[in-house]
Amino acid sequence: MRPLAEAPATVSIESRYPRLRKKLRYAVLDAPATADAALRRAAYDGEDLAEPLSGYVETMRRYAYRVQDRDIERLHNARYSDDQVLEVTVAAALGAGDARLRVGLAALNEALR
Amino acid sequence: MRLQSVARGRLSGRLVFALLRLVTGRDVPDIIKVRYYRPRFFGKPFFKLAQAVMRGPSPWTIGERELFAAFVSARNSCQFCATTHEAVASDVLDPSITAAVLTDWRTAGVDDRVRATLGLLEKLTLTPDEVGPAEVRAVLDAGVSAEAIRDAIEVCALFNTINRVADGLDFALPTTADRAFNTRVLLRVGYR
Repeated sequence: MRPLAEAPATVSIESRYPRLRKKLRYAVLDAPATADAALRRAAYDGEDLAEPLSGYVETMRRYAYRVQDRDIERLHNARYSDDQVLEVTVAAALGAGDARLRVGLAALNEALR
Repeated sequence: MRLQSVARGRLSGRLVFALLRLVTGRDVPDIIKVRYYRPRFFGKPFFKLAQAVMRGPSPWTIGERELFAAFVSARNSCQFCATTHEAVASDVLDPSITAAVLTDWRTAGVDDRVRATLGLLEKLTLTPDEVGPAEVRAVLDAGVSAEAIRDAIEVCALFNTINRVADGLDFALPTTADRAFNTRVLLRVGYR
């Protein structure tokens, strides 16, 4: 049995489905795909990207409804394939969603302390 | 749909699309094309999570979770998701209340628990950097349990993801008839 002194003072509330979220993150960010894992991770985090990817990912993260056909054309002109554009798009979108999950759960746990 | 490869689908996907067209007599929605394009990359794990978050056990009803989905989508100006999930929420809740929430959640005729939660989800969607314990305490004070707040945050995160995929790839908006059909599917089959 765990000594009482090591027990956490409060129970931390985590995501209801941590395994499903972990599987999703692995599939999008780490599993073999057409874009390098480092590129997908950078799109997820929204940093360390060169143009034209950086501008596209920034728009995706801040206001995806403003993405235009020409943004995708710029990526195609820079020799990114449809599959690579899809992977970067999904990674950036997942990063934006996960950021809100982290912020929300952190605020919830802090409020419960 | 901005990516022709995804719109066209791979061989296995094209077979599924042909079958769906035959059975439903309708065009295949772009969300389903993304679902079946290299499904192990995104579609399969994402929709498994969506099914759990939107249809699994929760203090919130399915209608309330669909209302949160429509609300988050509207705040992200994602018309595809907002109209789709407004239709689903309206099918199980009072449609005038759903519409009122999307117009102005502060004055909509919802109970205090839902209103306080909507306030948190709006901030989490539009200005996440401004969300801290004070914003959550306001929801707890309205009588929402910690478990329910957690589940609402899960819906918010899920739709902040799919809204961006829909708008980045430019999903075609469903017609009124398509929306009614999609509503039946989402309520009977869910997100599987």
